Amino acid sequence: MKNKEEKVIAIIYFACFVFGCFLVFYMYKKANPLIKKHAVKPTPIGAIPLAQVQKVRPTVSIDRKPIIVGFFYADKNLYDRTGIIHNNLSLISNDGEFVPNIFHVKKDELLVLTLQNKGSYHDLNIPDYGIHTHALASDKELTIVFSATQSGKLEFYSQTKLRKEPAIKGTLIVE
Amino acid sequence: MKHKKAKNLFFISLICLAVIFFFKSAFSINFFLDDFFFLKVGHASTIIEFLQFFNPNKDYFYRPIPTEVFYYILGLAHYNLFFAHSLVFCIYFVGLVYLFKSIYLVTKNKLFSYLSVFLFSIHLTRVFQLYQLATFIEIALFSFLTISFFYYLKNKYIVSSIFFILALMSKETAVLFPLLLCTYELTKHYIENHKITFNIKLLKSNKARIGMMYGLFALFFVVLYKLGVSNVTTIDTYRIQLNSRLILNNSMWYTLWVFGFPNFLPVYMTSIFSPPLPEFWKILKTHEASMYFYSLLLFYSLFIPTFFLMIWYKRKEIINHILLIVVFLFLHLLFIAPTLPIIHRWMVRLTVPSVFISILQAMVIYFAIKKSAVTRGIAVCLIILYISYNFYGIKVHESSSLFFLESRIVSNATTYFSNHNDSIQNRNNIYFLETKPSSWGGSKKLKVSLHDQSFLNYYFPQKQMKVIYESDSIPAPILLPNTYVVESDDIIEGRN
Repeated sequence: MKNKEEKVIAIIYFACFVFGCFLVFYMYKKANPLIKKHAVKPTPIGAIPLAQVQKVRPTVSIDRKPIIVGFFYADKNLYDRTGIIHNNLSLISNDGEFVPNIFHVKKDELLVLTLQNKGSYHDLNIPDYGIHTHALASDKELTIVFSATQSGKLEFYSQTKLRKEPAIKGTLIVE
Repeated sequence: MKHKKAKNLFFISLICLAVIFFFKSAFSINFFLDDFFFLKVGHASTIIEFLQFFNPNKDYFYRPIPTEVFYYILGLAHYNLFFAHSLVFCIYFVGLVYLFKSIYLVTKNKLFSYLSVFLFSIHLTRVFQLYQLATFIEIALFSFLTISFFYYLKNKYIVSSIFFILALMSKETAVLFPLLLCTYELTKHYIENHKITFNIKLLKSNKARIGMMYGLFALFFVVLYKLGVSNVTTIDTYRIQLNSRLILNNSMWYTLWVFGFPNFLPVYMTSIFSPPLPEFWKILKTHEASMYFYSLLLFYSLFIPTFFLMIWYKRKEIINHILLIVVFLFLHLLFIAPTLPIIHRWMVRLTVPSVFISILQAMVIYFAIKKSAVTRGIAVCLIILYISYNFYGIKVHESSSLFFLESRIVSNATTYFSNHNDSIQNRNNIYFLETKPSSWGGSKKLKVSLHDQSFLNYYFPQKQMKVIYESDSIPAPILLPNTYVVESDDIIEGRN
């Protein structure tokens, strides 16, 4: 009886361990995807619909290591605001406010800017690119794709019923 | 008897050595951020000034022991960083010893006590308490509370209440200690008698009177705290918001953190029910982060079945076991409860709450050790995986906490001020010029790292000076006479 019980326990553990290994493998594959390189024409300046964004997103190359520290720094004092620029850029906040960030990109490089909205209303303003979005509703995501043609400012506003304040300010430098 | 004591000392020393090995990088961390403020307020040249440390009428939290008194002691040691960190570690070790003694006194089980203390001592959240000197507040709270609890168990109430008062002078969370004692007594009563009976005689008992005394101490300190907190809560991130969504969200993340999940995870998760953002997967490309996540996943793939096996095999005493699990989770939530309604969420607050979760985890691993040969093997794997995920988790959190970056900026500042000391001493103002473009935010970053004006007292104690940061939109230095101009990035980037 005891032997049988031991066997059952061993099988349960084995099954759970295999499941754990599967999860590790899944995470490994997610972290190290096989990136197919496509030749993609730079997208014209300005926002494009999300449906098109989904098509172009896989072509964005990921070649720099993410800055882990940057993301936590943002979280240290911010509960509901996350700003992430895909394609090797990250935003860093400084004690409750986002500090100016400098993003170095190559000319005509395709940029995908995703705004995660949780809670308040946000809107984005990239004056040097002529991009102005309307307030983005709560719990929505907005993705804007544009190619880096010139250096310029990025401003991301957080808007509540009472006030509108700049949440992220960044500078795009085209090398 | 002597042999037993030597054995205890050997195991406790091993745990302390493990702590030093895991958190050795703490010894290289400089003063930064709040440290400068505490260095300023922890200065006293007369006994009257020293006694002023205990005056509750201040515009910051009333925590005189780990702030003013601690930094005053550091001043006596000429702000020697090695001494400062060694002192923090020593107090932590004292806390660990008393935690071991308390658990042993309650359970009468040495292996279980060692296991609980070991799991607690190397938990990755300790990065946030052992690295920055300003967070000594948490270590002091933990150590004083464990000592107080130990003497309470020993029925030495006077010693216990002295340490309880010291804990109250360390952090406001200590006011919850009487509730911990109450929960302990009720749980013990239920496990011994299999029922809870309320009797008027109970209120007249010695324990009840002691409980009342602790409650009165706590109430008295609540009034003292009110004086300081009324000024602090006006800061937006510390404002109490009775928002159920925020409270639930905070409870969930604090609980996940105490179970070993990383501090930056909430940033990558728009919802707990949806997959993380694509950026999250990039983190796993670094060796430390991947090892940490993989060990963590494997640990829980073995820990969860062990937990259910424990429940299954202890089904005859299921009520007692479920009660213990509920009590530990309740105590964990109780000690983070004061911070749940505020937006500011930080891993540092998990010192005392993680004691209960470590005991819970030790319960499961201890069961595995004792059950059978197969589960004993699993217990060994669990301990190895626990060590592995905490080892790599500590490395990941050393990075995500930004302590090294802040420390480096302050070290650069120290070198810079030392090299230019003569020139600076002749001026009345220091002007931090904005460097454009700056990757870390120029003078705005320096204002945070050097805690605005507070650092002056540390670097130039004999001189009355003022610091001006360009980020505050102050006019150019040409308009300000007698000003020493520093380019912010010279300090941030270490161009001395």
